[in-house]
Amino acid sequence: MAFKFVLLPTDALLYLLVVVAVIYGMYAARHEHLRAPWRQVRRNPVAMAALVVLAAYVATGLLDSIHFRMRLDVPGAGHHQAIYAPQVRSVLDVLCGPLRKHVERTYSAPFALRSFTPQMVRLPGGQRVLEYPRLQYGGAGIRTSTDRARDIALRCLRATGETLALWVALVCAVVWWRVRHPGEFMRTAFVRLARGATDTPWRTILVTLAVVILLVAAIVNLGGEYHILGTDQVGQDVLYEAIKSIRTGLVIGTLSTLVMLPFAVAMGVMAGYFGGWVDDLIQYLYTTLNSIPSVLLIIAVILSLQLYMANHAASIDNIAQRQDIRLLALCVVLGVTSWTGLCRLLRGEAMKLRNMDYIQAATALGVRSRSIMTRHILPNVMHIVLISVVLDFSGLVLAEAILSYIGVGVDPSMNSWGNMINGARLELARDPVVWWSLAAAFLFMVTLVLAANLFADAVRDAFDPRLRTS
Amino acid sequence: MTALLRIDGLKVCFNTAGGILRAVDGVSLDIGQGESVALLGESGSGKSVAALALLQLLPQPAGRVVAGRVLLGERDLLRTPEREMRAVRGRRIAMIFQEPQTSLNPVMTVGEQISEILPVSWTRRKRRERVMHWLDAVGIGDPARRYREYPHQLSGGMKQRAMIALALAAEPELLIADEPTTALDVTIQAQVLDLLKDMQRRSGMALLFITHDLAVAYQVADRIAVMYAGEIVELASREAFFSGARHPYAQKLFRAVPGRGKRGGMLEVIPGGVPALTREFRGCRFADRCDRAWALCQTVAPQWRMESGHGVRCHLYGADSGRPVPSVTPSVPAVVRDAEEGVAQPLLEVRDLKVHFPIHRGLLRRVVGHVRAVDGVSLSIGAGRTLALVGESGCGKTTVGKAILQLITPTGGTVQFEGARLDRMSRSRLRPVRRHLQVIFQDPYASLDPRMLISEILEEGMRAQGIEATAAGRRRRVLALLEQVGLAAESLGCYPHEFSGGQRQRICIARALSVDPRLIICDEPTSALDVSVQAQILNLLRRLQQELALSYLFITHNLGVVEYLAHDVAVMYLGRLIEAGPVHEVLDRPGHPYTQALLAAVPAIATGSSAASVVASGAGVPRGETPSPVNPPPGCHYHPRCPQAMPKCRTEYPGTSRISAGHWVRCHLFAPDTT
Repeated sequence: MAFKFVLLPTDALLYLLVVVAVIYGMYAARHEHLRAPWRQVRRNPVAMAALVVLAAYVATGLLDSIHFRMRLDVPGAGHHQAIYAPQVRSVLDVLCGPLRKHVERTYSAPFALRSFTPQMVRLPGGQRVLEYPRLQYGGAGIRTSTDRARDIALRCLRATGETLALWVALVCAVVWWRVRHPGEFMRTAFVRLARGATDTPWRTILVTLAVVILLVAAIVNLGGEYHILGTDQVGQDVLYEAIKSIRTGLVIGTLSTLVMLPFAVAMGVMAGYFGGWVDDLIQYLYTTLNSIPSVLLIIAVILSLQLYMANHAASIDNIAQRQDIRLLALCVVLGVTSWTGLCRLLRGEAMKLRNMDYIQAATALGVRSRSIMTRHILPNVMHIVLISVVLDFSGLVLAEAILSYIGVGVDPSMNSWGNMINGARLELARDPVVWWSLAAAFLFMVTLVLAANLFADAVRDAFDPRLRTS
Repeated sequence: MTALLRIDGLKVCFNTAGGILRAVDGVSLDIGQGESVALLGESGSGKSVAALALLQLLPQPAGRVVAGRVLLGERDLLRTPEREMRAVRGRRIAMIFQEPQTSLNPVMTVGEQISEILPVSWTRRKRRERVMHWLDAVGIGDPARRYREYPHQLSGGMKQRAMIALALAAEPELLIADEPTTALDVTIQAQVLDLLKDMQRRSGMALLFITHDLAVAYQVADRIAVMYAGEIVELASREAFFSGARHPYAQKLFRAVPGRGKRGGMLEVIPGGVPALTREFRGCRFADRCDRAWALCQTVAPQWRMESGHGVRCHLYGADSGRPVPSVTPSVPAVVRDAEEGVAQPLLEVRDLKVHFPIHRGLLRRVVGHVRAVDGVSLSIGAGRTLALVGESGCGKTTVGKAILQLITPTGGTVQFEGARLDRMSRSRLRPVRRHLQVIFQDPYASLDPRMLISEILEEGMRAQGIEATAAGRRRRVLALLEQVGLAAESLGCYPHEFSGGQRQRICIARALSVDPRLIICDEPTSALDVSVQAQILNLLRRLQQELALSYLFITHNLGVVEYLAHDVAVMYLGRLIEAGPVHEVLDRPGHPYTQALLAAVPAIATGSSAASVVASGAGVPRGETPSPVNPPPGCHYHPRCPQAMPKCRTEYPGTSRISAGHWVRCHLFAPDTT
């Protein structure tokens, strides 16, 4: 084997999440009361555009969640005893090979040919001169800035051409898929698509897809040759960092919710349905938890985890594992501090449902409490769970950035938008300003959060019975 | 008589997901000065929409007027711009709605809301005096205090009075009342109807009264317009209509109303429901439900025919019908056998049942008092018998039902079912017993889980009780149940929202039957339904009783239903039974003044006889409203409202007095039992 799979804990949980999402999708497809709201979401052009963007993020995040270690060709080692590299790589790392490998010495501006900071260079004559050295990788084959402009233009043109080819193929695929029913004609289907007269807003989806594909193509064409978003203090490509941060953001945004969800749902429904001392106990629990300042709790957990890891350094065999444990701890602690809101909502809803006639009728039929909770109450509060999950997502992504900024977030060596912003704090003080780190983190985060929020709005509109139009 | 308001060919459409819904399809109606017209129809017939359209109050943007004119004097209201409409609404045409709770703004005092209607140019003082005058006129006592109170401080009947004051304050020429008494108790309804008639007589305004209740229409209206599926199908003076309705729909409505006269027989049923108004009609809209329809009815829409003030839209009366007008022969329904009179071993025996809800107050949530929702109720039901529990809202009758089912833990007393004490059982011991006692609720929309298929709903009880172990067996049984309640087998794969109210109530009945119960507690199962659908459900319940020897505890406020269905009656007032006995004894010779008042308050139709004997209105209608069960009056609970109250009534709760074998009453007017 040329590589060995590594299953990090967060990877496993992410896979689990994907499986859960697929099962939910299959379940929803068979239940009209779930399918109808999703159909409404599907008809919403803004939501579908947001979904395309989210899908691009999720795809990146998932590619970055397949980890392995490469086999090393050590001359002395025997055939049976393979030796694997200590670094854990992901599929995304392989795809972004040049981005990852092209490490400069220090800062360089986007598309720069020379370093951003001057360096003392010893000339052959022994003279020392302060100059901006050529970058090792950035625009390696380019001599002047006019050459560079032409080169960039050419590469952009190629990216556009590739995009166009792929996009036309996609459009044809969509049209072909839509006319598979007899009685539809290619021509009318094209016209309908172009007019945006389709039930699912295919025009919007395809246009958004075109933008996404164009961006990817541009990165592929330009990324190998230039540092599109510059490099940071240690010469890492900023674009690579920002892309690697996607997984961190997604993990925080989804796993925190996943961690807290079973607690919040079980406790909220139980408190509301049983009432009495069960309600008192659960209410006491979450009121207490809610009154602990969450930042304090997070700091305490992260610090004790650091201590634990320092004491058990031997059992943690690589840096990826260390990063991952800390990431998971952060997810758990964010989940623990944020489940109370959902729990309270569910408690109120379950209390209301408990007195509904159909629950009373089920009780009168002799149905067991457990059965009533799972078969009657849970399906009737699921829309609240769904709405709160999608609404919480963007909040958690932002929370990670803030926590990393104050130093209690993810591992400092891990790629995350919070860490990028934290690093940019010093860079902003420089003159001239190093703006690209902050801008990159900002751009990637805002795009994700905006898409998530737009999508969440559409989901809430579709699922909230008070807002439902039909 | 000159027409005050002339509606001419009004058509209103709604854009819905299912297509264009023609809610009102060509309605023409004149309302004369000082005249009162009742617009009568089932839900979905378009009567409320027509009224809203008059005032340009249709929900936007879904609803729109497509055609027609509404002339108020010379002005066409449908073409009046919004700014000028404001001068019409409230000033010339006022409106009161069904739900008094939501029609008043909860954050404004009653006085402020009414004075908003009055001209701004008036001084504060003048407006205040005017408001007081109107509050007094609608019979709100102590207007100076009520002026400063907020809507939540007023009772339901009081709120509706305030709404009427609000509508009348501007002295409109026409008052539109949209089911103003439907949400009220029968005694309060009688008071409000009296008030409306009185106000109309004094001010000479016209009244457009929208209702689904034949008897209410009879009481208030000079003329009756019957609406069906967006059209007016019959229009006649009250006398003409109630002595001889012409349209088959109207005739059937009359025969669908339950009452004692129909006891022992099945109620006339109008099959099906109001058709969906999204579809195109070619023939008569009622043809599918009409048992006198023939080929012409399916193909040609009947014309409006007017004969000496009595209009009807039916081919039976057409010159071109080619079919003689048959004399109105009420189809003789199959006579059904009543359950054996004579007291068998009681199936359910309730002794001194009490349910008190604690009232918590203060920081420590200390118990400061109790709501005595049920305060010592004893009753028994024999196998195959129906006991009706009658009372106004808030008297605790629903709580009795839930306490018997052990859905609420009783505070005291015993509940015995076939000799077993239900109130002593643990949850797990109770579970197998539950299959014998089932329940049907009032609101068919809240009693089915919207997330479950009908098949899941019907199988749930069988699973829980372990009836029919195999899936095939359950399915067979579910199909049998559906047939029993008259639903198609295809219903199994549907969700509850795909059914109408009456169909949902059938599903509820099927669910209750799924576990072979002995006793079903019916908590106002028909009060949310239209008259024709109510008849279907009542017939079904009656048939099931005969087939399966079921017992019913029938909780209701509708005395007509009691007369039709019950064997025994128990009257409840403020948590206690005040009178009980066999149905004919209690309803023919009511002992307690409250029972008498309840009976007097029921709007009655004096068919055929002289219009003068409208009702024994006013005289027997109880004053005031039900007091709060938190703080019931001392002595007899009823004495503040009782016209025959004696000093003794204020201090002492009366004991039981036996009038005849099974008939007893709790009132000081009768000599107490010596035992």
